Amino acid sequence: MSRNGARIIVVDDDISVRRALSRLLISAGYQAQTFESVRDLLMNGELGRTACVIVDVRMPGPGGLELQEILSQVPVPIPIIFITGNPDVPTAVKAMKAGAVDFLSKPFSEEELFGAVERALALRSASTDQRRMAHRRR
Amino acid sequence: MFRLYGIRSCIVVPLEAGERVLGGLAVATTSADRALREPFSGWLRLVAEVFASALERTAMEDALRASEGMKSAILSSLSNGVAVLDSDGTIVAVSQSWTIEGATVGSNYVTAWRETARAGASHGSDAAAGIAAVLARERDSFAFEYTARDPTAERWYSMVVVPLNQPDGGAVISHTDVTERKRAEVNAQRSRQELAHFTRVSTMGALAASLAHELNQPLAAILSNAQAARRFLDAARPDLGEIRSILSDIVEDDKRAGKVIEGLRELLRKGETEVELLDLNALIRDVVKLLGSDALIRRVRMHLDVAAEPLIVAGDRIQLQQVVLNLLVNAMDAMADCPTEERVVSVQTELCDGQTARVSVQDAGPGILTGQHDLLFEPFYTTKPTGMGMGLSISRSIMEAHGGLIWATNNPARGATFSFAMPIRNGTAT
Repeated sequence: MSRNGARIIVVDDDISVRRALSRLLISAGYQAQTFESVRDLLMNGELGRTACVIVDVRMPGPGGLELQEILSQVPVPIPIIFITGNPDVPTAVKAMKAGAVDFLSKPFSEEELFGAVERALALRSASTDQRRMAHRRR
Repeated sequence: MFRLYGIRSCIVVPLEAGERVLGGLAVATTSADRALREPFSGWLRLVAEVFASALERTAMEDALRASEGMKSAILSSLSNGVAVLDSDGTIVAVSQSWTIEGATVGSNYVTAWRETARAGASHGSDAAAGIAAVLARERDSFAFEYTARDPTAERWYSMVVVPLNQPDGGAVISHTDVTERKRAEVNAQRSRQELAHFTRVSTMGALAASLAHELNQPLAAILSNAQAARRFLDAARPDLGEIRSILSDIVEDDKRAGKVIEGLRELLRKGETEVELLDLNALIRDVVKLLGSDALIRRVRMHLDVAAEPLIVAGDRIQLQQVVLNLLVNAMDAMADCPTEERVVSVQTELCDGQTARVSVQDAGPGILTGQHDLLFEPFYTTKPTGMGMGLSISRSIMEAHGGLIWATNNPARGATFSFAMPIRNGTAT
C-alpha cells in the first residue's frame, strides 16, 4: 500500500477541519501534520520530506494560491490539493492551470480526498524518479 | 313737563343692585294737598329694593338660560364624545356625539369601566384607575388609547380625562375615534418592516457565499471525522478514546453549523418589533463574526475595538443587527477597488458622557463625495452598481425609532466613518 506513512501536510485556518482531516489521513495510514496558516507552514514545516500539501484556498494572510506560487520555486515540486468552503470557478481554473492535483469543495468525502492524495503521491514519486534519473545521468 | 301734566310733587329713588344702578322708581302726584314727603319716601325705597332684586334675578336667569343654551350648543356640536362627570364619577352631561354604550347620563362612568374589566377587557381597570385618579385630584390628566370592537371592525379610541374646574370637583372625559390614524400608523410600520426585511434578505443574498463557507467548514469537519471514526472502528483494537473525542468534535461542529442557521433565521425573520435590553458590544461581536468569512473572501481585515463596559441599550435586536450589518457591508463594498493590504474596517464602540453608546465603522475607501453627505441617508441613493439605496435610509429610520442618530464623516487621511449613537439604559442584557 502506497499509504505506508507518506507524510501529508494540511494547512487550514479552521481548527475543526485541521483535526478532522488529520484524523482521516491517519485512519487511512498516512502521517499528517497540520498548520494554521501558510506562514506557520513556511516557518515550521519540513517541506523536503512532504509527499503532498492539502491547503485551504482562502485564509487570513497568504492563501493556497500564494503557497502554490512559492512551492513552484522549489526544485522538486510538491503536489498541492486545494480545499475550499467557498468554491468559485476562476480560482479553481487558476489553481488547476498552475498544476494543482485537485480542487475539492468542502464538504468532501474520503473517496474524493484519498483519490486526490493517491494521484498526488503518484506525481510525487514520478517526479522524484525523474530527478533521480537526471541525477544518475549526470 | 311737570307743568304739562300738572305734577305738583314727585319722589324718585334709584333701583340699585349692589353698586349698579338698574334704573329709577318715580312717584308723582297732581294733588296739591298730598305733597310726597317722609315717611313715604322711606316706603318707596323699600319698594325700590324689592323691584331691583326682582329685576336682577330676571336678568341673571336670562343670562343663565343663555349660558346653558351655549353650553348645550357646545356640547352638542362637539365632534368628540364628551361627558362631564361629577366628583363621584356619575355622568351629569354628555355631548350628542357621546355614544359610549352603557354610559348614559346618571350612570357612573368609573363603574362602567370596572365592569368592562370584569368582562375580560384587560385595559378596563387601567382606565377606571386613571379616571378615579383625576377625580381624586391625584392626577392633572389621564390619556389612554384602547381598542373596541364594533360589529364590523376593530376601532381605536383615544380617551382624555381632565379635572372639571369646579369647587365640587368632577372631570371631563373626551373620546376621539383615532382608528384612521392608528391604521395609517400600523400600515406605515408594516411597510417599514417589510422594507427592512426585504433589504435584509437582499443583504443576506450578497452574503450567501460567505454563509455557504460558514456552513461548509463544520460540515467538512463532521464528514471527515465520521469517516475517520468508521475506519478506526475497523482496526483490530479500536482506540475508543480517539473515537470518543471524534464524536465530541462532531457534536461541537454540528452545534456550530446550527448556530449559523439560527443566526441566519433570526436575521431573515419577519416580524413585530421586539424591544429588549441588550449589550451593543455583544451584538456587534455577533455581526462581525457572521461577516467573518465574507471579510476573508473579500480580503478585508476587520479590526474590532469594543468599550470595556457593556453598552446596554433598549432596542430590537434584529433591527440593530441590520444597522451594523449595513454599515459593515458598506465599508467592505467601499474598499472593493483598494489594494488588499489597505482593506481594513475598524469597528469601535464607546461610552460617551456616561449616557450615550457610540458605534463607529471606519473604512479606507474613497470616502464620501463633497456635497453628498445629506443625500447618503435618502432612499434610493446609491453609489453601488447593484445597490438599492435603501440600506442607509433604513438604518436611519431604525436609529430614529430607537431615539438615536446616525451620521457619516470623512476621515482625515482617507475613507469614511459611519457612526450611530443611542441612549444607554440601566440594567442588564436579557
